[in-house]
Amino acid sequence: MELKIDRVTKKYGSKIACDRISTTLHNGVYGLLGANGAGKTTLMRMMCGLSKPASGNISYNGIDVSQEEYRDMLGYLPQNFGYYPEFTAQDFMMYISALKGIPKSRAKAKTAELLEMVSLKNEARKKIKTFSGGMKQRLGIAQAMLNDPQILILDEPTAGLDPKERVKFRNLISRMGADRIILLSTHIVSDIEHIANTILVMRSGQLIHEGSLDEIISVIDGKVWECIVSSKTADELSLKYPIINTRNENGSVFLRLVSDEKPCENAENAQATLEDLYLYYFNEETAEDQAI
Amino acid sequence: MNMFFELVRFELKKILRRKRTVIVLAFAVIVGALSVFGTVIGTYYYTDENGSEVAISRYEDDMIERQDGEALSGRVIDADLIMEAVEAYKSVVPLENGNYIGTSQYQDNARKYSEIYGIVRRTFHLSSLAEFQNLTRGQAEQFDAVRRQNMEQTIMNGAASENVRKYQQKCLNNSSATLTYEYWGGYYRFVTIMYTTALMAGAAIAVMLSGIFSDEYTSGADSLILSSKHGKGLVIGAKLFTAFSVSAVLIALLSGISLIESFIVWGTNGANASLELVSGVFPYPLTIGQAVLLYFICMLAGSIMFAAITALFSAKLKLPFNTIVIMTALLIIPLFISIPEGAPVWISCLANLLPVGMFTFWGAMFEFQYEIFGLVIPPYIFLPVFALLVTCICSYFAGRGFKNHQIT
Repeated sequence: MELKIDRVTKKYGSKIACDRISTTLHNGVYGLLGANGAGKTTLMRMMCGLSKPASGNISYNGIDVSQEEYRDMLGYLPQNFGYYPEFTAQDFMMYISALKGIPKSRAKAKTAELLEMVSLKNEARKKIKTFSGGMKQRLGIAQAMLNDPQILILDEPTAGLDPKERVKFRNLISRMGADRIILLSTHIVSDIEHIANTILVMRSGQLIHEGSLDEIISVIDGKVWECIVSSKTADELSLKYPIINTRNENGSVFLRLVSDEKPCENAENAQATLEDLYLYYFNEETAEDQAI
Repeated sequence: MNMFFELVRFELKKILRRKRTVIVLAFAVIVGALSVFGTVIGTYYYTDENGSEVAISRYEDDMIERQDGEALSGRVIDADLIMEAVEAYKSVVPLENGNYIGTSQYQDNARKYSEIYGIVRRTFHLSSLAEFQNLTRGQAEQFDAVRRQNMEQTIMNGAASENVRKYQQKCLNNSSATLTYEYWGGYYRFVTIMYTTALMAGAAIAVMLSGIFSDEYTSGADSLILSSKHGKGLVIGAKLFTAFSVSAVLIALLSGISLIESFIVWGTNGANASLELVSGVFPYPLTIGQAVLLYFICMLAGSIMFAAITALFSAKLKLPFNTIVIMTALLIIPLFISIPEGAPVWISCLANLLPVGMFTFWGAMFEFQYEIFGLVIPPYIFLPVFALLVTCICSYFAGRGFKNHQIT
C-alpha cells in the first residue's frame, strides 16, 4: 500500500508552485508543513486529481490519480469547501455518498454514524446555510470519511474548530491512520506535532524535509535559545533572529529564539519543538505575511 | 442505474432550490397560462354603414368566427361552396374608404365564408374584393386544377435541386385531389401562442441551467465533485440528463397548458384537416393534427438543443451570468434579423436551425427541404435530427470542459 509521488511539478505561468516533488507515503498520518504559498494546497489538489501536474506522476499501488479507481479510494477535504446552502446536512451527506458511489442504504447508516461522530446528529435536518463556520468544517470532515477512504487528504481540517473539537478530531485521525494514508496540512503546528507520524516540510514548492518529529527537529537541535534581556537588547535581537516567544519579566524581557550561534551572553540552549523549526524555516515568509 | 438517478435527483434538487429558478419558473408558468386568455382580452372597433362605431369584444368576435367555421367544417371546397361564398360577398357594398368589415351585409351574410374567401383569393391570386365578387362558376370549377398548378409552379420556380423537385412532386402526387374545409381555430391559436411561450421557456431554461456546471465552480463544490468516484463520469451524465429533462418538461408543460386552454376556447376541430388548407405554397401530405405533433417534437428537440448549448457555456464560462447573457442573446438577436425577400433559400433554411427557428410552426413546416448527400429531408424531420446532433456535440464538449476543469 503506497502512494507514490514521482517528480511532480506544477507551474502557474512562470511561477513554480511545486518543483519535482518525490516521496512515497505508506499507511500512517502525514503532516504537511509550510508557509502560505509553499505549494501545500497545490500538491494536495494534484494528489486528488483536481489539478494536472506539468510533469511527473501520482499513483496509489500503481493506480494513476486520473483513474476512477483511485478516486474511489480517496477522501478529500478542501481548504474552502463548497456546499449547497439550501441542502440539509443529511442531504449533503447523501449527495456526496451518491458521488462516491455508496449505495443508499449504506449511505444512510454511514451518514448517521459520521454526523454523530462530528457532533452534528441533532443538526442533520437543518439547512447548511444556518451552520457556523465550525459546524461546516465538521460537516466537511464527515463527508471526507464517507467512503472509508484508503487515502484521506485534509487541507486545513482544524480551521474553525474549537479546542474540544480539535482534540476529538486529532484522536480520530490518530486512530484512522493505522490502516490508511492520511495527509493533512495545517498552520496549527501543535496539531501536526500531536498526530503526524511523519512530517513533510515544504518551502517554495520543494519538499525540503521529511521524517518523524524527532528527525525533523534534530535540524535545529542546539539552535533554540532562551534568555532574559533588557528591552533595548530584546529589540536588537528581534531584528536579527526569529523570535518564537517573548514576555515581560520584572522589567526585563524573556525571549525564545532560533539562532545558529549563541545570540547573547546569558542565552541558554532549550529543547527544540516543531514550532521552533517552523519559525526557523519560514521566518522570512512569516515576516512577509505579517507585513501584508 | 440507481446511482445515476440518485444523482439526477440531487441535480434536480439543486436546480429547483435556487431562487432564480423559482422566480423564472413561476413567471413562465403564469405568463404561459395567461397568454392564451391574453389574446381574447380587449375589444374590436369598426365603423358600420351609418358611420357609427360598433364595438365587439375579441372573445365574442372569436366565438362568432368559431361558430361560422364549425358550420362550414366538413364541406369540400368545390364550385358550389365557392359560388355560395361569392353570392354572399356580392351583397357587400364597401364603405367610401373601401372598408367593408363593418357593414351589416358583411357581418350578416359574407362573414361566415371569410375563410373560403381567403383560400380562394390565395389560390386565384385575387387582389380585391371586386375580383372575388366577379368570380364565375367556370373559374370556381377550376379551383382544384389551379391549386395544383400553383403548387407545380412553386416546385418549378423554386431554386431547388433535381432531388428536391422529385421529392416535392412525389408529395404533390400524394396530396388529395379535393380540399375539405375544417375549422382549426384551436390548433391555430396553439401554434401562434406557442412561439412566444417557447421563447419565454427558452429564457427560463437559460436562467435555470446557466449554473448547471458553473455554480459548482463559483461555490467551490467542484473540488468535492471532481475528486469523487463519479465526479468525472456519471455525474456529468446526470447533470446533462437533468438539464434535458428540465427543458423538455418545461416545454411539454407549457405546451400542454396552451393546448388545453386553446381547445377550451376555440375547440378541438381540425385535427384531420389537410395541412394544405393553411399552407398553400407547398404543403406536406400531413393533417393539421400530425403537423402540430411534429411541430411539438421540433420544439421539444429545439429546447433540448438549447439546454445543451446552455450546459456547454456553463461548463466553459465559469460564471452563470455570462451564460445567461449569451443564451438570451441567442434567443433575442434572431428576432430582429429579417431575411429579405429574394434572399437565397439556404439562408432561411439555416435560420430555421437556430433554436428560435425550431420554436415556430412555420419553421417546422417550411416549404423547402434539406438535402444531405442526395437525400431529401423535410424540415420537421431534419430539425429534430439536427438538434439531436448539436445536443450530442455540445454535451461532449460540456462534459469534457467540466472533467478537465483545473482547480487553481
